[in-house]
Amino acid sequence: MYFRKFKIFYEEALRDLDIEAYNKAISTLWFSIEALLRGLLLKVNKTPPERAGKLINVAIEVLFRDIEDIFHLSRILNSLYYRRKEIDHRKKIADKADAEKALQKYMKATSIISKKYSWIKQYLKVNNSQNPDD
Amino acid sequence: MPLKLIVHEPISPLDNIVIKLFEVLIRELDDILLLIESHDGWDGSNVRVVVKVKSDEVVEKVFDAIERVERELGLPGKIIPDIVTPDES
Repeated sequence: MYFRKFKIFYEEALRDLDIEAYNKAISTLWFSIEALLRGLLLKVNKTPPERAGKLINVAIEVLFRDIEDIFHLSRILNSLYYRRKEIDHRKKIADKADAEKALQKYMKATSIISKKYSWIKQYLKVNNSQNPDD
Repeated sequence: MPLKLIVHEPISPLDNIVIKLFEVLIRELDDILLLIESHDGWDGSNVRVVVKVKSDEVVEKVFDAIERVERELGLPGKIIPDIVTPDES
């Protein structure tokens, strides 16, 4: 279920970008990552923490200990969550550049994660019309 | 610049990380940095960093510093920051 949410949120974020809903795009990119981390933790029989900060902490500890880019991944996950928090809970209003930066970080995070869990790539396949590189 | 370090018991392992982060951030941000403290945030954040201005450049410097400290200590994912300005803290 969480992996389906990971994909759905990703596709929704791309659509948000297309219609210039930049605030929503940034939140939705985080929700996609959050669903991925929850799904991966459940897959290894760990209960995902409710709180986002703790989720990052536990995911890094449990899932990614053995990956080469772990410190960079930690930074990107924190940075993506920070951007989402700025939009949803603080005064920040996102523009196109903010949303594009969030998408770059999202792609980097999923790229690092897919080095260990290569099968997640299948969830990131979208129609050409929705591809961020178009 | 006057500096005050306040210790609240009980001391946790995170406090040592916060001290290390302070060392790096004070060099990088100088007087833009106003406060660093360990805390238990509603969202699971565990270190609050208060800065005068929260530009992209300042925020990236904070994340640079966190990455550097986590690398130095071999503790990835340990620092979950809440970066705020005085009116948000």
